[in-house]
Formats: sequence, structure tokens, C-alpha cells
Amino acid sequence: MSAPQKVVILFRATGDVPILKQTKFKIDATEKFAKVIDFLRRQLHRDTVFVYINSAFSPSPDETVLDLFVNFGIDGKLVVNYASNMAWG
Amino acid sequence: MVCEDRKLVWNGEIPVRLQLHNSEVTTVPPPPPSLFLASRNGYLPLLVPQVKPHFQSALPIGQDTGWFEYEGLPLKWHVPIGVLFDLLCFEPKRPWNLMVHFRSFPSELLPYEGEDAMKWSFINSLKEASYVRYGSTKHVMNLSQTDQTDLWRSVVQADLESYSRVCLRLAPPSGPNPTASRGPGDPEASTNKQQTVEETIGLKVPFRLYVRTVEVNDGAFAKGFPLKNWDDITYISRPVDVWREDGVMVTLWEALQKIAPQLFACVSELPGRDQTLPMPLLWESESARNTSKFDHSSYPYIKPIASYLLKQKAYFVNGIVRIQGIEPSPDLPIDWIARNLCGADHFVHTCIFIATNERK
Repeated sequence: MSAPQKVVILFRATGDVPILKQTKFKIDATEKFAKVIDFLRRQLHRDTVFVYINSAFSPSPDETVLDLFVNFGIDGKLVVNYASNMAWG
Repeated sequence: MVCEDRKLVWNGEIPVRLQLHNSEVTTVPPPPPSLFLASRNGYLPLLVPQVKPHFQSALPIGQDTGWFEYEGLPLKWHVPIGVLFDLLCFEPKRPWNLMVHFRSFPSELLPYEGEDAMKWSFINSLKEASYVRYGSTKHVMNLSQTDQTDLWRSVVQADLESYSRVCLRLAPPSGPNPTASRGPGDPEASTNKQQTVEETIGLKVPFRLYVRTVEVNDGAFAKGFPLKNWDDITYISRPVDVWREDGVMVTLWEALQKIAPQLFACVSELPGRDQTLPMPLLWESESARNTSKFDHSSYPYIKPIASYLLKQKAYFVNGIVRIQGIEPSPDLPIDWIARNLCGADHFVHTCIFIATNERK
């Protein structure tokens, strides 16, 4: 598999957190995950948001979107769950 | 029961000489430096309660958030101390001279909100590792509050016995099962009965690579070049298979070659190589007999720093691979590395230095 230039991120809301109007976004594969968190904070107008991959773990903001997609992507997308509290510890 | 090599790694400590940064000194004379041993598998913020009393009386009035600096570079608090040392101290200097600050937390670091943030970061790293190893985080999620607290305390105190007790609960029960996966061709599978109380490590191992390029001058690494910016580090995070399809254990060399084919190559791949790519860090000739025939002048863009023979194979080295302060042999099995050299978060943190030609 050749490395994609862009990665499709699918945001899924958990608990009482606002649902985004648009849930799919494309982001440069070389970006750090920190950028995804920042983006989500701006979309939600919130300072704190808890972000998880596949409802399982919260990755280090230093990891690249490409690595997360290659390692944990499902059906060509990276599923990012977000919540206003620690949904999965 | 914990194997000896793992114990050696866990007991690994780095002598640190810590000074309070000038901008925060309000006393004459300034407080003397503090000397202590920092656990390799520990994290910098855990040192703050230990060192703060030493510097407290010299600090200006205000709120304290401790952070550390090495040669002008603020240190990432969520990276294990041993990894920071291996990566930033190219020629290991002891003691390691660090600056401590309690004011003006730098914006380039992730905000630090106290020990709970440190614990959260650690547990999530462990969950990610668990997801790679076993395909789920349920064993971490199923830990009781007491177990989770014990686990965290064992990391804070570098207590391997207590850490290993909890870790047994982080894996599917060992027994006849996953090990099925212990490949059919593995002669050790039946003889290593005493390993039954060890954790099972799963079929994949999470690797985290920190790649740094280093200038080379006359075939040797340039001396003393501090890392100026974290953006000069390339991070690669990848799961690595423990077993090959033919039932043989995957070696470090094979795993690294798979994760970063641009950094590791076979001699046969060199002639057609794109010369704009960086020189591979390590490359291998087809057999030892070819060593003498290998003509470096035909690859002018590659100048090996060292070469050596290992099990009938010749390797040419153009950089350094460092895990837990060790430069491991390229033929070590991933299984051994995962059991002995992984961090407390179960990631195998691997520092890689690649030689580049001197900048003119």
C-alpha cells in the first residue's frame, strides 16, 4: 500500500457533546494528531475535548495522522471519537 | 518471575545534574545544583516533587509548573527519560546537565496539568500498545482502580516487581492459546516451560521510532551538535510482527527494514536507488563472501562509517540504532526485544541516527 497524501477522518460524538454538521474531513497525512485536536476544539468552540481512536485510546498528539491511519484506520477512514469527558478512561 | 535482562533495563538510571535557570534565581548565591539518579523508564514531571524543595527558596513569587531544558531545548514531558537521554545526548555525557524551570512554561510543549495528566498520558500509551498487541484495550479497561493506581505507582517508583504483577493482567491468559502463535518452527517453544508466568506479548509489538539526522565529517559523526527543534525529529509509529509467515522469529533488522525501507536496504537494492534519498542507515550484503567485493566507490553517495560480519552476513553501518541506551545487534528477535527492552508503556522506543554529509 502506498502512503496516502490525505487521510479521511470521521468524527463521532460520544455523550452530551455537540454533533458536528459535517463529520468527515480530509487532512494532510503528514500532520500531527495535535492538529486534529485543535481543529475539533475550534469546531466545537471548547477548550477541552477528549479524543479517542476507535473508542479505544487517546493517541499522543505527536503521532502523525498517517501513522494512526495506517495502524488503526478502518475502511479507508480514521475514526476519531470525541467526548466532553473521559469516555474511555 | 522477571527475567534478568528486563531487571537490568528497569534498574537503569541516568545521573542528572540539575540547575535552576538563571532567570528564576532570586537569591545570592544561587542554589547549588542538585544531583540525583533518574529512572530510564520514568518521566520528567515525576522528578519535580523530588527536586522542588531544593530550589523552592530561590524561586520568585508565583505559580509553579516544573519543566526541563537541555541545551536550550525544552524537554517533552510525555517521552520517557531514557529515550530523551538516548536521543538528545548523542555522545552520552554523565552526569546529564539539565536546567529546571518553574515559570514560563513553553508553548511548544503540550500543556502540563499535573500528575493526573502524566498518568493519563501513560495509561493511554499503554492502551494504544495493548490495542496493537492484542487487538483490544479491554485488559487495560478492566483493571480495577486499585490495580491502575498500583501500576502507576510502580512506574513512579520504578518498582518492577509490582509493575510485573499488574502487567500479567494486561494480557490474555497465557496457556495453550495465543501461542499457538509461537511459530511452528521455533525450537524454544517447547523448552521454555519456565516462561509460562511471563506476560504473553501478542503477535505484534508496537514500535516508536525517533529518527534524527546527524552530520558526518571524514567518516565519523560530528561532535556535539544539540537538537535545536523537535520538528527535526521524524516520528514513526508502527506495529511489528513477532513471527514470519514461515514460523521463524522476525529479527530487529527485518522489522526496521519493513517499517522504514528508506533507511535500511540490501546491497542488491542499492544500484537502482534514487540518489536524492538519504543514505540508508544500515545495509546488508548478500553474504559475507561479497564483503571484499563490495566496491564503495561505485556508490559515491554512500560512505559507511563501519562494517561488520554477523552470522555469514556483512553489514555496513551508516548510523546508530539505540534502544534503552543499548545498540542492539540487528539479528536480535523482536520477541526478546519486546520482553526486555520495551518501555513501561509497552512501546519499544527506538532512537535512530542517520548520517548525512556535512553541510558546507
